[in-house]
Amino acid sequence: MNHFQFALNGLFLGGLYACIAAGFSLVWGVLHIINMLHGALIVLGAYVAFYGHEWFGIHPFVSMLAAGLIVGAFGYLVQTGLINRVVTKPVLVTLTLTFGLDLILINAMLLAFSADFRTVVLEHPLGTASFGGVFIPLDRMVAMLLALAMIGVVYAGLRLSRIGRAIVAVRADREAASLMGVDVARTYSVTFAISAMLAAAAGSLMSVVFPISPTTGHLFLGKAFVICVLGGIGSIGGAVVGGMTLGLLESFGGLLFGPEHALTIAFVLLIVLLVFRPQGLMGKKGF
Amino acid sequence: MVPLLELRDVSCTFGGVRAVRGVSFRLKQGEIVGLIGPNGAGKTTLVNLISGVYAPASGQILHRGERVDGMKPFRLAARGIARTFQIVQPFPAMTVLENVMAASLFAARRKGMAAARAAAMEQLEFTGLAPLAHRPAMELTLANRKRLELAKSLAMEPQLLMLDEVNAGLNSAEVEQALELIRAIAARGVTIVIIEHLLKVVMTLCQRVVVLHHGELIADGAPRDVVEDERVVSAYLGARYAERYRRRHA
Amino acid sequence: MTRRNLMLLAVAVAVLGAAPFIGGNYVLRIGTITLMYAVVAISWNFIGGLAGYPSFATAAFFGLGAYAGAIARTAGVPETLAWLLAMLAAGAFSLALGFVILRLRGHAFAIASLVVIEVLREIVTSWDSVTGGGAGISVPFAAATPEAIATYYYWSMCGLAALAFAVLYHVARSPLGFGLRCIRQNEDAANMVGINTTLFKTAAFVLSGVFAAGAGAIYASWTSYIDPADAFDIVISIKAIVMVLLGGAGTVLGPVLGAAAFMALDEFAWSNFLEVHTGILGVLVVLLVLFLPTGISSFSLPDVLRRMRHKHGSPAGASGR
Repeated sequence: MNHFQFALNGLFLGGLYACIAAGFSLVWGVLHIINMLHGALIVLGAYVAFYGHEWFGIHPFVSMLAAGLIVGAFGYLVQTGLINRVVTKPVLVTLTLTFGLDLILINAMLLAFSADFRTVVLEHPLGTASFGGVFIPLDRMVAMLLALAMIGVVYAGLRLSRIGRAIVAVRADREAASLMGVDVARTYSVTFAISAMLAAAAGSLMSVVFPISPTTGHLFLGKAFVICVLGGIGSIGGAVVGGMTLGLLESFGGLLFGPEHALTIAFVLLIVLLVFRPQGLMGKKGF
Repeated sequence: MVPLLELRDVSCTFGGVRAVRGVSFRLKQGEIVGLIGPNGAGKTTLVNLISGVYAPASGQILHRGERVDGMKPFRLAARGIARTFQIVQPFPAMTVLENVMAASLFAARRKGMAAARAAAMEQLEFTGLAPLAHRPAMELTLANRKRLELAKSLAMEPQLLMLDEVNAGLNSAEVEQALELIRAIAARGVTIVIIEHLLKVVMTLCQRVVVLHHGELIADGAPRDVVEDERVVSAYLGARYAERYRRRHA
Repeated sequence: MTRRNLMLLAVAVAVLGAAPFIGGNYVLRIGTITLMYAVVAISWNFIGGLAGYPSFATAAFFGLGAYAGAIARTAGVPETLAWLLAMLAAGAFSLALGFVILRLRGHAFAIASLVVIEVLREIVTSWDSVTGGGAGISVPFAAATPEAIATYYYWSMCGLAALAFAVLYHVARSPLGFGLRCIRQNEDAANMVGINTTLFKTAAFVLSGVFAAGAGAIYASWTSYIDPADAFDIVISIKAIVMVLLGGAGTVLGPVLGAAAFMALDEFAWSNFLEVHTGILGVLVVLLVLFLPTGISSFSLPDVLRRMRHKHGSPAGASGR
């Protein structure tokens, strides 16, 4: 396989990774909480897609929207009912809370779906195209494009809609925003809902690529962490850059060191970055 | 006699802006020096440089002849260099006594918690905070917080005490009380540098005034000379004040 | 220590002392695990409770201690010495790690400390010539009756717990403990007031490393088999934090009370609701965070009731992260 192949693989993966991390990064940047529940939300979205396909024959790429809405609504409720009570507390407290919620959700999913790994088997896969010696798995490519499209829609929504501007305001300065009439609690709930929606969408798309099980949630969470630090916390554009970077790193890292080490390399890189450039590759500014 | 503190051509830059440029002066033990200048002149930056919060980009800072530029604040604290903050920074959930005890224990190097506690109580008595000793620091009024700052600084048993706008936000009665306190501190032999916008305070309290403007030291001398200085007048005081001062002290 | 807490401590000591005599192996097992978590909780309390640094590295130190102890044992080192070596190794590691990550604060520090667990696990899994890789490592044990073995490890863990408690007690009342509390309140102000914050933070971090590793080393000997997933499990770090928060962060008795209370609930959930036991743990954690933020040792019923009545905290109100 030539290097271009690895790059392509990395990019396809990167698009999905960006979608995984965008919501996580948003919540972190706006609510200042580390949402340990995020991985489970991704898995939940994947299950919605899986059963949508299993029972109704709906293609996961289509049920991405349904998954997003369902899990997004769930996220809104969780934020409003639970997390908003302690959202101003130190990072330890909120992290512990979201971890507790994570335990609950994972247990619920284990009961409902069992720990067996499921894969979505498409009846009409798009197959693989070939272009100049490079193989292009079309399903993965479409998944990546949809992921990026989803992110693009959210980005546009944030810049153009009123609630989006409220989110930006709260991200910049919570108290000032509140003084200017922004309903901070509701803004938080909407932000969390958007984050859950992006997570679930990512999960749906990934159900075509990866086998799913309630136990894989933490793996995705770990990647989301790395991507945030790479791309800068709170920045959607950063999540895209970070996601692509991680995808490429894993692809080429797998080439150099063997796939089992790819994540370790990413984590070591993360520590190095935290020490020397905590604002990430993109710096602090902007969405 | 080796000066207590000496700055030689000290400069400091923040993101392209030279906050302090080539400042040099000497402090003798026992002086009370006023540090004045318009907002943004670099007064607090200078204090930050001397107390170790920032390291100078160039130049030297000497304490009793030894170089101290670049030293961490805690080392300078142990050497007897203390300062108050404009925006008071206590340990909010700890009591007033504990706040001051930290200074006696660590900066003044008192041996053991009991000795530190006793030394801290002394400073609380001195600043009139003794009745509030066991209240959490975050419950204090602004005036009392300023006193707490002062008590903490005194508990460090400093040779040099730099006061950064201790009077901001105080009414005139409180300012008078603060002045009394500062005079009493000076009477103990502590060298004082006071950043102040209230010129009345500076003129009556200080034997010497240093003026900063755009990071440069533009005047250094006795109050009446500094007030007459053209550069000072145009940069900061304004002609009307200079005129009034001249008439009053002619 | 308040009278009530002193009484609780006395009860705890009595129960601990009596356990090997009145209970069977099951009681001893629960007791050993509880004591192990008490040590882990105490170790976190140094860096997280006193100094206020949200460290997740506890599991990394635990795993390191487990593996260092196991490797020493397979090399023929006598048991207690192996445990001491493991603690020393963790001390050195935490010193080096602290040098790198203690300059970070808040979220950045939390992430870095979390990631260390993963990195160590990966290294251990890859370095299979020494560590047995993903298959794990078996620790040699002396032949003896199950009761004798259970009792021996119970007392070993008890000894470590007593040591950890004594050190915590001492540190909390010393200038080091005082300085750490100042750092937690306001690190910059602490520096200004003469505290060598780097030194103090590092001391707290090393203490947390040493004791967590000790618990890991004894655990490895006790179970006589460890593998990377077991030893470097992030849940260990989370449990340590939850236990300390449950009992009261930064206090002397908090970690122990929290560990005991948590284990009691965990065991109850496990015995009776195995399938949902993780979920119940999750519910417990959520309730804890929402209603008992200062922990058991400063528990007051009126406060809890008051908090329950205020259904919506004000995200727009209070400042601070």
